[in-house]
Amino acid sequence: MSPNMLSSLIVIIIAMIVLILLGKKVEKLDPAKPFKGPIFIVVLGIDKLNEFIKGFYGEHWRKFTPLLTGILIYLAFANVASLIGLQTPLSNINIALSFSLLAFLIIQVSGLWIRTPKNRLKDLASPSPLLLPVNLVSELSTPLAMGLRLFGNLLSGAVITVLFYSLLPSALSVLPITVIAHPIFNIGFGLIQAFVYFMLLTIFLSMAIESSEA
Amino acid sequence: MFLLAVEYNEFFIQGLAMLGAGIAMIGGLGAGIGQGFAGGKAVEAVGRQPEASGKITTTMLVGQAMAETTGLYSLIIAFVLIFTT
Repeated sequence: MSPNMLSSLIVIIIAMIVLILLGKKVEKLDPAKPFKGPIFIVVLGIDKLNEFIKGFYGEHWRKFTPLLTGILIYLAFANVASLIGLQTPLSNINIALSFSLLAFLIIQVSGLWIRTPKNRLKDLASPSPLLLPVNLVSELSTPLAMGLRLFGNLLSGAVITVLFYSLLPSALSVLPITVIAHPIFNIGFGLIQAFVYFMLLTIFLSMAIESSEA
Repeated sequence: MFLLAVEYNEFFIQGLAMLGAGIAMIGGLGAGIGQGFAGGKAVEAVGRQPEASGKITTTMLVGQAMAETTGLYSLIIAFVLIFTT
């Protein structure tokens, strides 16, 4: 097992523990009183996410919200995993390409499930049947690009951070790296890429399930 | 003499791969231009409509991450050239 897969499993366990603890706290809340502190941020964030997804899916939003939110939370935890000394899971191309496969399967299965196979075929041949091969290629290439984007961003962040560490003598390197390199390449790019993957998946999934006439 | 030629060829391939990696990163130029364009347009939009700055920033970041893709492809190719030869 490669270190990336091991750290991916560790990240999943950490995310599960955090989410279970947060869920227990939210269960005990009193709706009459105003929420405070981190719980308020969590409740507000989940509410914003629900509103965001509702805007894309309309009546189908309850089917897709748990899946999309779960992917977003996993990516957000996995992309900042190098802060606690783990290898970033997405800097392994196998894990990144499995995210392409995940996006491909989610889009195709829900397109066939909600739109029914006949209508889905009609959508794919939508402007004219001559464009069917082009549409099929774009169905394959967008998930591939999503996975490769995650891989490239996280790998370049890891490589640049390692280069910084090897460039400077160790006593000097602590301050600039902790102040400049880690916030930019681990927290900033990682969270932006997690949100971008989530947003692209939301958009392509909503394009696959809504009818082209409406 | 023959051994020397083999060694020479080995380093020749490695050096050319490094050169290729450097040339591949010219692709970063396009990504930089695209991201700068998106950032400039976002600044214009905020200047015209300051109350929508939150939405504009989110849209700008997503668009820039999209524009980054081509640069990342060239980066992946450069990494492949460096680490596999």
